[in-house]
Amino acid sequence: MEVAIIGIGMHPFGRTEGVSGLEQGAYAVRAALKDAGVEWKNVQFAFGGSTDAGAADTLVNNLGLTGLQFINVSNGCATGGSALISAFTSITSGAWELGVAVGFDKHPRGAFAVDPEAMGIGKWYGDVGLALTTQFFGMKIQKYMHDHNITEDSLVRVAVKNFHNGSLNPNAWRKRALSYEEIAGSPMLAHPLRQYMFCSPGEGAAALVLCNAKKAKQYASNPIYLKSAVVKTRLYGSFEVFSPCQASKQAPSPTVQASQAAYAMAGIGPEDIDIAQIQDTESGAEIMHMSENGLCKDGEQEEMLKRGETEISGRLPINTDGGCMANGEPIGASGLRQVCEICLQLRGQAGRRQVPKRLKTGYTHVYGAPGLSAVTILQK
Amino acid sequence: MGVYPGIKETGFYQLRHILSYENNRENTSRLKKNYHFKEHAMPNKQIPIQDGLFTWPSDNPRLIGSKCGHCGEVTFPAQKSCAACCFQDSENIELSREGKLWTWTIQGFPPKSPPYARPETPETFVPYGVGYVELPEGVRVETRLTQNDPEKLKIGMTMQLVIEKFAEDDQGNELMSFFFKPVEEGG
Repeated sequence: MEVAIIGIGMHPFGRTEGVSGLEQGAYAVRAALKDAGVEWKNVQFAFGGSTDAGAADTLVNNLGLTGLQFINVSNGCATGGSALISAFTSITSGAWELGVAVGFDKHPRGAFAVDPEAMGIGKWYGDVGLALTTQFFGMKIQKYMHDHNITEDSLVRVAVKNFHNGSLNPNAWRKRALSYEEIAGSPMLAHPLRQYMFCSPGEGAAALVLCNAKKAKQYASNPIYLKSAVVKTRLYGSFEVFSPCQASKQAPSPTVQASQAAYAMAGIGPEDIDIAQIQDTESGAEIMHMSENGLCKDGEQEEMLKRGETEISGRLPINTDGGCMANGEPIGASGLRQVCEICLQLRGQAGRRQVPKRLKTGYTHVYGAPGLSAVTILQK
Repeated sequence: MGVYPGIKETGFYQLRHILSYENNRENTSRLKKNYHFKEHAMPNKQIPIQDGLFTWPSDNPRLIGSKCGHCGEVTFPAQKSCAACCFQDSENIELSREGKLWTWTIQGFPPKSPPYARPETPETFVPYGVGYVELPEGVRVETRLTQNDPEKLKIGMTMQLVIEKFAEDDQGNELMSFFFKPVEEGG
């Protein structure tokens, strides 16, 4: 069975006082149902996830108690992608024909709080000040820049691009484009990464309605087809967050594995990708993920960014809605936000941030602690 | 140009100047000497932040890792089973004291407490180095560094293990943890 996306919906990302994460999730589901012309009572299954805003399956209290199959998903920053993959396989297996994937979150202010013991590491790790995701990102990009001649200029350009794209996105949190100087002059949080190179934990919700592709045209004139959806966890030897040690023989990251499996499943290669939304937890992550997802060779990013190849007007637009940097990172929602953006772009409905060139194939990628990645490939 | 040019302009945290970790440590040592003069009947105990991370008490402390009897992979901290080959055939080993800096960063803002065991304010916080040191046993250990100046940290430089006081507990005992310091510094 093939899978089609026939409806998309989002709640505005960023701080919304007085609206809980669950309410934002319900809002996104209702918007997606309306977009698809589908009623909740006909939805056969749902997968949903949230890290901080409650159990997704309690959304039935808001949406309607129909007795449907509703399963919660929890995979760190890859939660949204994992919810989607679960929905994908429900349809490809023939188990169900019409379902929903939803993700939402409402994180408290400040950096993500981490409980090392919940991650299987001793309490000492947090005691001595090692349990911070920001350190991992600083260390990973530090090594990458050293090995592949990437300079701070590239880190700044990624942030300039994503905040600029966010200023064109009415749904984004950060709608003010930041200048090169503002970003390059912001305080150093985890050398070489400065404050305005990081996304912040935030709020938001996104939802999709999916169906058996054979029935797609009954619902939508412009269905988008999920050519592949893959989740992979880390292999021994890959450099992951919250690792008190690493092996000296490095293995490819879960992103590399998920990416390769997704291309194989879709029967295409990176050269066929017209537009991509890839995890930009911070500037360095977007840069490294470009090569880990096969979109360029290690080190090419510096020239690509100088030439503007990843701008909305460029050869390979990346993070056209502003990414995690401009939208914030509500963990449960981000993977689905990326898919919504690809759908909007492929449908030609992205408004001021519409990519001008002809689009056929889009790509989404998320990466989450403690080391897993979800990738989808979409086509119209 | 300062190391952290943004701080004075944005007031991100109100530090008047950046203290190096070495200076701060000397200040702490002087305080400790005064404390001993007054409380000479009750010497402070030095307690590891976590049992089993390193040999202690010791004049030549070592990190304690484990080596898999089946595939030979080395892990830190010590584990009973091997994540590389899934066998449960691991034994504890003491790791070398010197290695190469594989990567590094500087923690630039006070970590949330809990879990951070040192209560800090933006005024008291001193940025600290964090890195991975590759040891001859074929394992890279994540560690705090004694150096926090980005101009003085280079991938590939030789680093040496030191056990130092990290914090104090309620009884005034010193909580000890492991750090790596650059060898070229001369102490």
